[in-house]
Amino acid sequence: MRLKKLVQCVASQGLRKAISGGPSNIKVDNSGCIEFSKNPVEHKRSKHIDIRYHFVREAITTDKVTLEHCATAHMVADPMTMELGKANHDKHVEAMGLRCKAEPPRQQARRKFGL
Amino acid sequence: MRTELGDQQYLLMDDSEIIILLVYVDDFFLVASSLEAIYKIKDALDKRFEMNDLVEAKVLLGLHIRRDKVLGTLKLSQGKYAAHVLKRFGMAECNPIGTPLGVGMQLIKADESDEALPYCEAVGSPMYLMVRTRLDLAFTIGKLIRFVSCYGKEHWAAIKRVLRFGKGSVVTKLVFDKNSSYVVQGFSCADWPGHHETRRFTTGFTFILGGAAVSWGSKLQKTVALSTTAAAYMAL
Repeated sequence: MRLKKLVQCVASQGLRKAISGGPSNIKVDNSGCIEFSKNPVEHKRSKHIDIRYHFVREAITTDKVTLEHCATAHMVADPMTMELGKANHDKHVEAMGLRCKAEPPRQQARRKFGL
Repeated sequence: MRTELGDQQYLLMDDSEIIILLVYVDDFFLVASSLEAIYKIKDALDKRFEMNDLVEAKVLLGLHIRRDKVLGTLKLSQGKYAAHVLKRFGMAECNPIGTPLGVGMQLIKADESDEALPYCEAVGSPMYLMVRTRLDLAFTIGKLIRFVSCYGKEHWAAIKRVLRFGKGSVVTKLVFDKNSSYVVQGFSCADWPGHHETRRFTTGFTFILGGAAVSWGSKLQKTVALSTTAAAYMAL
């Protein structure tokens, strides 16, 4: 449902032009989901998916978003859905732009003197 | 073009200029694509209202904004607020820990709440951190907030662990970099089969722009899914 918000925000307000050219890319770690969004076949397991979730199909056919597969190991949103070990947690959180460590003093000095 | 983004947020767009104006009670916060645009709108506002110009924003509702023009970075942090929260719950001198939640920890509802523990406050205070900069707490807070009406000792231990985690990362900043990609990159995932009691699953998403997340969320879905594919599809 968040996708709906994103598409509305990006498309209606012309922010897309200001930020970047093409459609927004969303990475998913489930290739079945990507295939299904491109080619929705009727299946006993898929017919229970509520119609409101099929918004994503429209977003893809109108070229507002693209879906791309990424391995679970590189799934940055993983800490949002499960508890992870320290190594994985730190890796993903850093990918989202959170920096915990203070800049080392040497690097600070280097920057200060423009080296 | 003028659009209202939401409560007291305004967006003005020209061919080349973008101006975003946020209003908080009697304070304005202005963001624009160029300095000229800022001066222009400041003059216009100055004619209508009596104003004080506080120049570049350093702190906004507890959010510290630090810009580094040499490196081209923008750092957002809430270290002061985090330290305040730790002090409030007597955890200022605790031993830090690496992650906010133990792997495989399952919490179940307690029969009755232990009223002596300030559980609601202890969950709510870090939530303010989570909403603005600490996206690493999103899932944990979401999980713990389900127990505000039925918490026991193990829930209190879990929230103490969150505070210990906060102690180890008081200096955490959200760092935006001028030189990184300006294409919105989204990530979406689901943890099917999810919750062990109700079979409801959690979905998470994050959108990254300019080297850091601009939007994130973690939500326990109201429905059940029959397969991982269905879960991931609903997560979108």
